[in-house]
Amino acid sequence: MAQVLVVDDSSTVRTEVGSFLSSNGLSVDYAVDGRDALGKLRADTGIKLVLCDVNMPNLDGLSMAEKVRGELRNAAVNIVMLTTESSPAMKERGKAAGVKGWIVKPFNGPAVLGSVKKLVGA
Amino acid sequence: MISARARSAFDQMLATSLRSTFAGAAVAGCGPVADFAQVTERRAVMLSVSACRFRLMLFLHFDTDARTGALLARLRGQPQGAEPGAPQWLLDALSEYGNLCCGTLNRELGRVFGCLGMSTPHLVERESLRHLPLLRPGYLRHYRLDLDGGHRFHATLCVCEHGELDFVAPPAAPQAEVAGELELF
Repeated sequence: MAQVLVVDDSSTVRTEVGSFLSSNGLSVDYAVDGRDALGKLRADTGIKLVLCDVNMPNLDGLSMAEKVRGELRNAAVNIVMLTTESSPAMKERGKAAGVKGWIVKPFNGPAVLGSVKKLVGA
Repeated sequence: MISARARSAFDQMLATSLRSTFAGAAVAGCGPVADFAQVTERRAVMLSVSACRFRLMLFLHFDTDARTGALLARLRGQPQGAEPGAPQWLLDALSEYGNLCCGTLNRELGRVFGCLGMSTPHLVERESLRHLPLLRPGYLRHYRLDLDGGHRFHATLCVCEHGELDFVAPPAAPQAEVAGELELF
């Protein structure tokens, strides 16, 4: 059972983020796009936090967030976008989809670790 | 038709994006090169930004060699020699650098234009860029980026406009968005 689900089509990002979180005591699972992430969330209801890219093939991150709240009816998991995007319109769409927070890449583990642990409940 | 000051704005925004992306290495120089013949790398990562008034393609050129792998490992803070041996690691890392660079460019353009869409990265062979003129771009230019240690990258910008395109790059934002930090809603 994982605490954090890292969702990104880039294996470089998955490795970088996942390694940092794992080395700081968090259990991590991975998904390569929004569709894969939905499957992981259906299978593991213990995931507390999703760190998710926006621009991905098959199913983008914001659409995934909308489906998590809609089809999966999962209002509990915290979703934080990790993306190069930062437009106000995109953030508003994220807020409407129940996204909890936004990180503009590149990932800065030490800067966000405290907040991530709070969101996970660790 | 893309105006001269719009071309200058694209140049400026790209330079900002390249310097930001490779901030982990000292940037010794960044500027245009005369023609495509000076771009010697054999592959490129391509991303696009689409707006109502233009479609922009950005190419970061690279070779999949040990020297590039060592540079990327250094940029990512990995010990020398620790980079994985698999070429796929290098391709993935370069794709992500392309993503970061185009992301910065996308945010710069977003200060002028609304409703932008950015693609995911695609890997292409150098020779495919010879076909870019068939798209009849309003602006096609190649650049060099010199990093410390004598490492040189090249980039290509190709912009196809819909109608007249004229804009000025806005001045630097007074409080730059802090990348890497969590903004809680």
